[in-house]
Amino acid sequence: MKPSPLADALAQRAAKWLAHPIPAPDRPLAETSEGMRNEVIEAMEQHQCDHYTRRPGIAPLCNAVSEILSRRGVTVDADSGVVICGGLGEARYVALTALSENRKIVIAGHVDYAQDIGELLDCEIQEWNVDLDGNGTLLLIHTGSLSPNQWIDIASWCDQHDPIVIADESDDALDQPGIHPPFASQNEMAERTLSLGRFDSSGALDAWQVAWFAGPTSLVQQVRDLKQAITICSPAPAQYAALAHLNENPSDRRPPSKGKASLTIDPPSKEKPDAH
Amino acid sequence: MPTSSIPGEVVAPSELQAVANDGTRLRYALMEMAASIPDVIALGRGDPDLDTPEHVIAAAANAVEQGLADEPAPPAGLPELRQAVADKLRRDNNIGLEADGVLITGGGQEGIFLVMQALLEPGDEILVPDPRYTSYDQAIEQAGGTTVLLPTRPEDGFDLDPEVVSNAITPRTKALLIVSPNNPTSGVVSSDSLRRIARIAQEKNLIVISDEIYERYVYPPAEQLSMASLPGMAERTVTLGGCSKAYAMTGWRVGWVAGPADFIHALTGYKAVTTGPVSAVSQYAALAALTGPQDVIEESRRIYLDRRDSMMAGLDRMGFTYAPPLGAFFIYTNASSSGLSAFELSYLLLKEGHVLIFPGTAFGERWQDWLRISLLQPTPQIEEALRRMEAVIARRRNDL
Repeated sequence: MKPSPLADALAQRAAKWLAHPIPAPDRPLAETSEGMRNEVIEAMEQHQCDHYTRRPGIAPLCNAVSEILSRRGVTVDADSGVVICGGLGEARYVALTALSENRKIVIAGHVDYAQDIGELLDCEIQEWNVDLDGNGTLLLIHTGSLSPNQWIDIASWCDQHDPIVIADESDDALDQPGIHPPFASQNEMAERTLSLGRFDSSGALDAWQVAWFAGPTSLVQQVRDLKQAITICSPAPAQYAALAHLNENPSDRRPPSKGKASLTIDPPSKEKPDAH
Repeated sequence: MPTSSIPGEVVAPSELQAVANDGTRLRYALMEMAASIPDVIALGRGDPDLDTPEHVIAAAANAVEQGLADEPAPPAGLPELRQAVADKLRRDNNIGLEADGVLITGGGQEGIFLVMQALLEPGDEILVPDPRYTSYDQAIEQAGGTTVLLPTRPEDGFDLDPEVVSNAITPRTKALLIVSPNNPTSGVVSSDSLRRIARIAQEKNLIVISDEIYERYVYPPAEQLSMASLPGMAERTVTLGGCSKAYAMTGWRVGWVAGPADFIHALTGYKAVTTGPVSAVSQYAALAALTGPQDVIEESRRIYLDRRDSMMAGLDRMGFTYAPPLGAFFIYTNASSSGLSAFELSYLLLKEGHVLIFPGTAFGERWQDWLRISLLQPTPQIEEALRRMEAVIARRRNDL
């Protein structure tokens, strides 16, 4: 069938999708709790979801993110250093897009989404290795898929090469005590690192499309401005859902998760998170 | 308030002056300033003060209770919502398409971003009526495109002149953006202009992006006509819309992009790897809005008309001129008789009168004398805002 004039007019970054099947969504891994549902319904019925929220997100949720990260050794300002996003995909996309300008992207760990986004941005992407010249780079790391030794090497490399870092902490949701210290809690990493992640370790909130990114104001503002340009703010019901979920599952009261050995890297002069 | 050595000069604080030439930042800076004023009357942002309809909230609550909100939606949106949008466009806008011609987006704003990303290559030009919502500029720039402004005039009711469109076309012109009803002018592109522009678009092989986010609010004698409904235009027109303005659902973030199925398929793929699907609970709310009782539209239209009439009477008393709004819920008014630039007046009204109004320069550099007033407060508040505005301007004239 002859393509429409609109299809003919597609820019290269979108045209490839004409022939690509669209992936179906994954099945949900869990259900939201009755208590969380009741809290969200109450927020909706009280008309708290009717209007645009604050650009960074509702204040109690931003505060919660700031508090949890602080317990994990990362200090971020709740007003200017935290933004609530419409899902992990959006968080990754806006972070990479906003921070990769005039930079090549270096990846470490399981960040297969980077290839797709890098193509859209027409950015060079390289796998990290210790001998790579990191000047003018954006380093994207998936912290959960790296070994302790890799963390040490990467942090040392960052000291030498001064990249900006996006730390994808999505394997370590905010509703659990913390499997490992955030990358931004390592020595000298806070000021160069934008962290992003999810609220819910079970997957129950996946369909609600809510996530977060946080870091120093200078980095967060760049990403926030792009996010705002795309969506103005994140959906209010999803934000109240995340808040209700955290209220039900405070990370400092959950039993420690099993599995990963703690890392030997100490966060700089901060109380150690409960890492196992 | 910062002082000046020149009598009568209004000096805005440096943080406001620093963003005076960036429309989007200026609007947010004024909103942040207003947030610290307890009795401010906000006539700035286009966020309806009305409540989201109860039946919409009930439907969302039901989706949450039944666990439907926990089921991830496909990247293109819930099939039933896409169908509801297609049905609405066929019924209300005479645009014949099926569900596969609809992509659900995170608000109309996201639709703007995605369409610009999907269409514009670096260097492509896109024609944009001026004054305009400057988020279009950002989306165009982000895609590498170039904004070419099409002047509109109050004496024409801010209609879009087909000759102006034709004269602006160059070999690099990719698309034309039409916003009707318009933000900030509340003008409506006349049916005659639209038909002539459609012919130009076909002759010149232009794509048309038709932002119809305010299409539920069109007032006589204007009539809403969707570009995609005109002969030969469906295949080259992208129609943008959403629930935010029509159903007072700005916090839910649901919009749509409609067009030929092949284009929508490509756009969906792009969305899947960038911003991802829209929150399922918001989509269930939108479904209820589109398929439930529609009397809320007529009721809100009546409310906005009442407020419009109050504001027009007040502006007449102040000697401000305007083109009578034919759509949306704004009034774009020339405030030059105040003796101040709109930027200065906007600041003065906020600091002394505690009334938030955006200067026209937040919607285009040449609109130095214009204010955009939103009609998104109850009529008594609008009357109070007018009293405060009149007092501020009277004091200003006395000081001079």
